[in-house]
Amino acid sequence: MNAPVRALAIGLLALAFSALVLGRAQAGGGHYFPPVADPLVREECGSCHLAFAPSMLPARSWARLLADLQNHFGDDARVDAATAARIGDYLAANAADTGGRRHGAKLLRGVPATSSPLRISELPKWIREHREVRDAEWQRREIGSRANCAACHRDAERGYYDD
Amino acid sequence: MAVSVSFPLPQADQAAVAGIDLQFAQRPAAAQELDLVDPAAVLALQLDLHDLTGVLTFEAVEDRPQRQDLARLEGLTRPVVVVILAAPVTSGGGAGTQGEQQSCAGDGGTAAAARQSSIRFHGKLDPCSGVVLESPFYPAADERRMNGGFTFRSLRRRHSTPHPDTAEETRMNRKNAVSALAATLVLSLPTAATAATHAELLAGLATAAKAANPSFVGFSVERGRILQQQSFAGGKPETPACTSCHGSNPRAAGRTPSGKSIDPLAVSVSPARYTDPAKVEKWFRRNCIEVLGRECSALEKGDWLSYVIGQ
Repeated sequence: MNAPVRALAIGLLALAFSALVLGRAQAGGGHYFPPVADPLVREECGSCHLAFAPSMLPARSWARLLADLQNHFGDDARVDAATAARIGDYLAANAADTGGRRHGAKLLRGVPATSSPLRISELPKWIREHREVRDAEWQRREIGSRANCAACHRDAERGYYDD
Repeated sequence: MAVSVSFPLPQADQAAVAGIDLQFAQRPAAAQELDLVDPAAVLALQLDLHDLTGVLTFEAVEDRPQRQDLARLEGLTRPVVVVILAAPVTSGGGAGTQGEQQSCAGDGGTAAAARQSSIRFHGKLDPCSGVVLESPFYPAADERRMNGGFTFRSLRRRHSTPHPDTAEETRMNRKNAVSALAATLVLSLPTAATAATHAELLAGLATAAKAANPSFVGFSVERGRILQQQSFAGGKPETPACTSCHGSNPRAAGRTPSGKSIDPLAVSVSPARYTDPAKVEKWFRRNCIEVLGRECSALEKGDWLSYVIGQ
């Protein structure tokens, strides 16, 4: 009588485990943020760091960011007016609350409509998603920065953040 | 459009650098071009497999093996050649350097020989564009990429007679793959035009340097080297020198503080560099302010450019 119970228990455990893993895999399936398609935006916004997907921030955040490129997270990233306008248009059209809503809406959860966060890594949803990453990990040399998505998300350049 | 490309090959064993992953920056445009390109024209392409310097160039631009290779190509405004590869043909189908027609005529020897001489070209199109090319006729499972994309192994068929059912499919696939090859057929090698631009750039800086200091006699590669390696106190503390991000070897890739790979500074490995004067000025301004805390003088720019152009 004992043996079948043990087998059953092991089976159930295996089932529970795979369900957990599968569930996670499925949950990850939605982590797609279309990469920047405009070559100018890609060049201007993707030379120093990953060209972050426009659907990761609301349009008001992008506007605020572009308004002060001189103090861009400690760097002077000014571009000429025509370039800034084109980047602005692209970001505004594909932001998390405009054209990129389908991909970015979840990421905006918990962000009050009155705030215009500048750092993707300060969005509540982002923080929740990365809560298991310990400080020591962030300090690793290969990572160096929370802006270095591609250090862990191998296909970040192509918009995939499942892993 | 008959294109002929040849790369001097320093060592035959460098041919191991065989995979190129391409991503098209302008996806819709790339997709359209696929239809526009006449594959027949591309087959005129001659690859001299004994000459492969270009391969080194591409290897140097790889962000990471097998993944973001050549991602940087997207940023280039100029044409870039993405052809290349393969080991020199050693036996059997000695026609590896020829186009499809000749290769298809014979059976090209054993499969191993075919593999050895195959021209391998990997391309990926973003799924957004809806264009994902597959090449089932060459099921190179070991080279398949996880996220869609196609593998184009050879301009020749591996077998002389494809299965009838797959013949049409094969033709289409080849057409697609070759078209993709053509669509990205672009020159990034040190061409005459590039050299002229470098010379023009230096000439402009020389004029400015002369204006600033009438006793200016010329730029110095050595001063440029020192400038590149020197540490400065005036800029941002995190980036005291050019080498903080670009690394100490100008022929190797650098890394931005946020982890992005920077193409090597040396023109020998990044031939497309310093060909867009506006871009050159833009980065001089940004980087000099970050590192030196001020803009660089024409003399400094000229010295530095002379150094990296010769590297």
